[in-house]
Amino acid sequence: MTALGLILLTSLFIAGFIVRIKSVASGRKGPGVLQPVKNVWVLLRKGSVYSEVSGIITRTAPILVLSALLVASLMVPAAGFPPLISFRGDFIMFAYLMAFSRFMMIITAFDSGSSFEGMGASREALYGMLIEPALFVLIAGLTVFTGGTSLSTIFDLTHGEGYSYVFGLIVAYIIGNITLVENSRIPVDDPKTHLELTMIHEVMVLDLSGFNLAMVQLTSMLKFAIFGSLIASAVIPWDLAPGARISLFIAVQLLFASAIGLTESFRSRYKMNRNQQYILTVSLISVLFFVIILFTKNIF
Amino acid sequence: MVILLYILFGISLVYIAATEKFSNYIRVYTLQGFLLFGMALAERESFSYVNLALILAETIIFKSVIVPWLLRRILQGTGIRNVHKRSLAGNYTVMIMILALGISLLLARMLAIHTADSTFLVIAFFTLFTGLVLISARKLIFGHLVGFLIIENSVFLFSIAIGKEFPLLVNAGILLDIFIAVLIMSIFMTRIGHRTGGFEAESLTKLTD
Repeated sequence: MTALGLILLTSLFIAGFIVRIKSVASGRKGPGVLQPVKNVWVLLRKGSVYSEVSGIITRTAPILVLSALLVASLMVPAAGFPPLISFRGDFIMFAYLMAFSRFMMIITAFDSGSSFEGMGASREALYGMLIEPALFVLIAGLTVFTGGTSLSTIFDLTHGEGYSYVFGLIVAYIIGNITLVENSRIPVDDPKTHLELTMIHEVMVLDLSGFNLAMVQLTSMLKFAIFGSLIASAVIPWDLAPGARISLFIAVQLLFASAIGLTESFRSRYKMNRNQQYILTVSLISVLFFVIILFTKNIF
Repeated sequence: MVILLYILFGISLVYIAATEKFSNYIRVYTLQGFLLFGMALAERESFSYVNLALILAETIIFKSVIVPWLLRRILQGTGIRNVHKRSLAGNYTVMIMILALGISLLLARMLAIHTADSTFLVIAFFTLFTGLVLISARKLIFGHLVGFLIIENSVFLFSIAIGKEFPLLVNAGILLDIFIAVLIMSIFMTRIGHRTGGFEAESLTKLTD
């Protein structure tokens, strides 16, 4: 229960913290850390407007998008605090819940009948497909390293034989990049762009409003917290006192949000045709990590 | 600590295969010189001063100072900045690199020599394939030049993997070969390249007496 509590708590401020970091980096005061939550609150109290061509999918998918992510978050450990649900091979269900969430988002975009949204949906599908191997290879490497078979054990890296802090850093780097792709952030996509032709995620939610848009925004916030939690679980020793783990967990989440904020402040997005190369490079680094794990465990 | 060097070296290979800016090639090659020095230091059990001086000369001085300086001069002299537009697209290069990593693993397993460190063998093969990918995927001679240098790095890694079985003299000979290749190519690019109408590898076929 603590793990879920920590994830939900950090999901409330992580998006705001990224915006705050970006504001400070560009010399502005910026909105408060809880501004995205306030925006969601405003949206929740508004009614939804639907296009004439949209059907049942647009009405139901946003809540399914958030639900899938919420169920996925039940399987994620938080710096040694066990998740609510844990079973052998739960990481496969975790990955497919994420994929299901993305799928619902994609068909929502198609349901709007807008060619722009269809274009964004096809990009989202491509990038989602390309980044999935990186996650699976990473999980395979961690499974080999720790001997665990569920998310609650494979991220306990510090107890693996032959552990090095380098492993924690590499895992953090790979998951960080996966987060950028999954959440459609710079360098893959720019959430602030106003040009539909260059949008990926933002163009898919153009026709959503009120409650539905709030669901999608909450999903995005939760996704950051889930990946941040995986990073925190990989780098924080699980045998520390609970208080220390909670403090370190929040510190890692803040550091993670700062890294994303700074990346978005000082880095431009790639041209659309360079995105595949970037995502494949992340997959290649993941494979490299897997190879190093094989040698560390003398399996090869 | 050695694991960090392995991983950084691997990432540097991934980066050099993916990047399209030649200035990045030089930066990565410079970094690889330092990483190789670190790996050589970490791997050897005992050192003589002569041995240490030779490794220092080969890695830091040659790979991280002299060659990058030479390469930078070539870039300044020729004005080329990026890989040729007709070069193999980055997506395919990265996919080939993933394949190359798999083949490197298989080769290292097939060649399981008891005197050789298999981790170094994998990295050495992967480096060799990266050099070959650069040579075959890039159209401009500069890409080929860096490809040769990367292959020389793989030879250095092989020498670390095999240890005592690989005489330093052989390594020095290969180093000299590569240095001459770099020198000849730099002469071609800075002195003759303008007359052949470009810096593409294909223009070398037009050379006659």
